[in-house]
Amino acid sequence: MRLTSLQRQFPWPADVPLVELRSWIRQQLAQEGDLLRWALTAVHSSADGARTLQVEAVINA
Amino acid sequence: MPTLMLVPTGIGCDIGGYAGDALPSARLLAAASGCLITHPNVMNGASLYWSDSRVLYVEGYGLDRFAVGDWALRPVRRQRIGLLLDAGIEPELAQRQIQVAEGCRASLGLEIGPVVSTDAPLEVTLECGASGASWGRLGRPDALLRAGERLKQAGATAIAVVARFPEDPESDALAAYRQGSGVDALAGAEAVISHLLVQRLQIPCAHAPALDPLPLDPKLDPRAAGEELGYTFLACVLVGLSRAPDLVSAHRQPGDLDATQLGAVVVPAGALGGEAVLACLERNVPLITVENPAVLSVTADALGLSQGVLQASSYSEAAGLVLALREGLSPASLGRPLPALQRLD
Repeated sequence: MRLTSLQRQFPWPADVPLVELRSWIRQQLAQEGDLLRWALTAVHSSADGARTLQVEAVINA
Repeated sequence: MPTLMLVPTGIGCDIGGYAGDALPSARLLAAASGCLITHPNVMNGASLYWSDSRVLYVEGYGLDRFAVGDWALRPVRRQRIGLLLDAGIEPELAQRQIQVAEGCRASLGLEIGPVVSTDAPLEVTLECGASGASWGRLGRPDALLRAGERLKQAGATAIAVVARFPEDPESDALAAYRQGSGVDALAGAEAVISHLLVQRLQIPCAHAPALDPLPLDPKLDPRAAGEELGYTFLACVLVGLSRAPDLVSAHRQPGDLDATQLGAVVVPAGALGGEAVLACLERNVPLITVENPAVLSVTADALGLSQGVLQASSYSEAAGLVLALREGLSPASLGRPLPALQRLD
């Protein structure tokens, strides 16, 4: 068992509404290991309206 | 009306970012709601604590599972608290922890025991994320989980864990925290430790760091003072765990509390990116955001939440909103101008 800290940025897909965002983030992070603790720590918006999610987490890889 | 109060750990909230300094706000929200579910970061003031039967003390991992709907909370009269000590704690400092536990048995009547030490030092390290939030890890999670499993097998129904934390008494970050302007650097690693135990054992757990006493700081901020009154941070954890609800995932009973019963969630306005808040938004739990500055800016605007957010400028105002919801009053009717009715064409 080894704990790893990570930070990831994901474009927020236009077809993912807020009520599905939690599950969507979990799906992205699940590819890296067993999720122990995570949070969406920033949402960056660009001029064209696109949004980028910053997620920080600790996983058990 | 069951209400969830969240002040995320390690993000430097003005209220709740220090040593249990969101406790007065939690007491007020407990009185307004009649049932407040909150987490150790809100309730733990090291040597300072407050016990209120209307407050359910739930560690962050369990709180997330509750909000998502995976687990329910089952109120209990008492827990039997096993004490888990990191083998990396020096003998004298470990003895201080045990004496606090003995004191809580003798003076508060808590049921505590047994005590177990890990079979290897936990090797806690502190980290800071790009956001400025504190995070952390431990090098020997396996040793932590082995000790936790021993305690559970020995009859503990909750676990207080004390880990040796690295010290840097000269650091600028510590000085800023003590003077009321920084992020609690320990908090992120503390959360990782308790999350690991709750994830594996599904019983209430909470953490206190083991640290040497600091030299006197005449400029100490009152919000950090709870951590400088004694030799340990353990008393509040033992008191909180003593009546923490069980975490149940099957065989629900009458009286169990689940997320469908939540009447509101109260959270700092810039800290809407945690799993519990996002889960509450999924089920349309009324969201009350409180002006409580921190290092994060995951606001309602950032998430595109245009409607349905009740904004409060203080926890006093939030308590009024909770009371309104509890009484079935429309919060909109309490403000002026009153928006005109919408007509559907």
